[in-house]
Amino acid sequence: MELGVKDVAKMLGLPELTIMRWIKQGKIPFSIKKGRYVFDKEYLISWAKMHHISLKEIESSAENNKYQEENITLYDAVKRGGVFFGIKGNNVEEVLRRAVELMDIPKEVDIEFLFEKLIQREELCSTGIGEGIAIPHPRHPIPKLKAMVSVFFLEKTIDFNSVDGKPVFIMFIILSPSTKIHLRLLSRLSFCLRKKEFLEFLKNCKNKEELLLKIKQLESEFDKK
Amino acid sequence: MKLPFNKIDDRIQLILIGAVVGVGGGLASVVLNKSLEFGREFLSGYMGDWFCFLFPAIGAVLAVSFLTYIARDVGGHGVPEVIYSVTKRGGLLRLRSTFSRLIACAFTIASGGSAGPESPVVISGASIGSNIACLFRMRDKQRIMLVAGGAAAAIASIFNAPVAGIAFSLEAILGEWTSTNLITIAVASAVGTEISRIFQGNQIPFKGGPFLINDIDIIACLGLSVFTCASSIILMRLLRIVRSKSNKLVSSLVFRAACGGLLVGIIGLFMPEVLGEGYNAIRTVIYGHYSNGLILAGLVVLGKIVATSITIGTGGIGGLFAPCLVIGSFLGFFYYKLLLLIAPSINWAGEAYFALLGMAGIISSVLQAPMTGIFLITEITGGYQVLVSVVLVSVISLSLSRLFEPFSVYHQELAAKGELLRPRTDRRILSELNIVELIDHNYYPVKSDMKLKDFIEVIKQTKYHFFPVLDPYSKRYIGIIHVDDIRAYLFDINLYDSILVEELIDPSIPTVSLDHELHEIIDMFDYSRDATLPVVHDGKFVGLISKSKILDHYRKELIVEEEI
Repeated sequence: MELGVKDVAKMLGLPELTIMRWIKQGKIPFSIKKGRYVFDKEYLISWAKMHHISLKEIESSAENNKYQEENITLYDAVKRGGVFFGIKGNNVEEVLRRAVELMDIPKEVDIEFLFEKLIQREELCSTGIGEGIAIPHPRHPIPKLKAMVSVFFLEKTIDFNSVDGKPVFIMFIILSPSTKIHLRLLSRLSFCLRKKEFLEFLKNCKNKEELLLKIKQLESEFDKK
Repeated sequence: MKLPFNKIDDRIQLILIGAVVGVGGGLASVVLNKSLEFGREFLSGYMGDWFCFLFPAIGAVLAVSFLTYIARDVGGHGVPEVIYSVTKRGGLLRLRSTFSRLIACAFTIASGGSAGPESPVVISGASIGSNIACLFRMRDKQRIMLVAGGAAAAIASIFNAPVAGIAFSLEAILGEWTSTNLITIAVASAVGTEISRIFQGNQIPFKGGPFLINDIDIIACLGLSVFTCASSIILMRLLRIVRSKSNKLVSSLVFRAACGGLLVGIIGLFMPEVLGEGYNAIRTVIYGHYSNGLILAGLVVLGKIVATSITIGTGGIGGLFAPCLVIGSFLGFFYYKLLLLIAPSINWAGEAYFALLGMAGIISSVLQAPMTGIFLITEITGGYQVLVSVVLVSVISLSLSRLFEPFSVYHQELAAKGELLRPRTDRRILSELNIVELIDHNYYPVKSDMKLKDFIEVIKQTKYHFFPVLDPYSKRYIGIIHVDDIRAYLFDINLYDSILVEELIDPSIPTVSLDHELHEIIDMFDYSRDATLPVVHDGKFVGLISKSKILDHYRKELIVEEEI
């Protein structure tokens, strides 16, 4: 395979100017085709190996997927995670147990394991952030999971040991494969929850579509920021 | 031990001690030469007997047993060990190496094993240099020069070839030509040569010529370099194959060497030329006494390649220098006969001329040391007449064989293990820097159960970018927070109570251990996007290591190595 100066610069993680200088100084093997500098990929790889230089692969599709996943919006995450009404339970454990059963978890992840991780996090420090809202999440990101946020409206409020002591009526369970995505979703969610209008909306929300629409609307404000 | 002339300039001191090392290296080769002569004379009475094909096996058993059980030293021909010591251990070599290989090699070669006495003498000379340097409490740099000096003296005295000794030391052992290196090595080499002349007389080992060299001969020698290149590659590859196969087939060191010796003994029944170090065989060719024809000479070339690969590959103790010369001389003879066959009417320069060139070509290719090849051949044959042709054959043969075998026979083992570290190369500098020197101990550890609110206070009060997160109870390392990664969440007051420090950790940041080699760490930097990595050893956080600090150190390291 033939590579151009641009590709080689990317693979070596160097500016094109450096590659041009190397060509001039004869430090890198190249050939000229139709007046352009070209590099034979296989030869370049063996050259790099001989000089103990590491080459980066030019962006593959897997990288691309990862990039998309890292730029997930709260709207997409809630759409993926789902909205559930009338969750039964008298304490934190019971509602979390019920919630985990309802969520659409990939087969590779054990539900019991996920539940334990959620409880572990609650034991460390309550995720009740006040105003009747809780944001439970597993203690550590679970790489096998896809990022998602599931919304659970509780049948009756329960004591979540929140910072302001108010009983919780709604839970946003955040699942994410990495810390980075977790923090991204968390900051978007927190932006929405800071809005008085959103809190009022949640208290009376009866419909998934309406909720999603509201989130989309607020998130566009966040992105404009 | 302190020298009385300690105040004298370092260089003069090095020259004086270099001369002492030269005496040691010279004596080592004289001793080996004498014991080989003795051994051969002792055995010559039995040479016609039916059981003489067992001699190489017996010799190999004695050699390997002596080396493993009495001297307790490692096998091999020794030169890679000297190179390794020069690159990695500051030239340290064991005292027992001054004699262990000499004795083992005397058994191997006197009994008929196909190997040369040069490498054992080289390691002897080198370890004499190393131990003398230790005696005078010299630093690594000076010790390395004395090791190289000992090696030069050994080669110089065994061949009565002072310049070849210098060239060998600079090319094969040190891998660089610098004027400061040259002084010590040249002195040792000259003294070593003188020592051998005192004890053995000033003879030219294989005097050839005079030659009548025409232009056509010089053109013909280009063709010879193709043959020398091919033979060198076959020898190097066969040696490698025999070594790896015999390691797998027979696990006992002694038994393996015995099997090898037996095979060589059987080959020797049909071709006595392949036995021993073969100096006499070279003489018969160069003096024009070798009467066999084209095919037999070709067979001897192959036979010697096989016998040498077996002897050394199965753990026999000896070097490749002399076998290379034998192969080269017979190959030259073979080529000469081939030329006669093709163009009988031309008055060729003679078999001795081509034999010399063949030796130069093989030495240059196998050792990948062209100057050694060139000087050695001109010195041991006294044939300065042939200089032009020798240069041509050496250089062409070397460049051709580089295409197939990028490393010399001495370097390939080290290169395969990634331990070939030539002076002033990236790997060498990185290997000299120790990771402990590079660790930054300025950091502020935080506990994993700290809330974001409290962590903000820590960030406000400190000036760091990285915060190691430790387990609050065991103090073990959990992860690291890079402030740049979390900047976006720092000012979100709603999150202050709901985020714990451990949730800010970036698990994709790899950790470096104190056992990592620096070049591995550089690779880790290449793959991770961060310029700073945490150093964790046995679960405990040690400090941070950053790219900029490595670069800073690296430059200073390079600067102090420069010669002014």
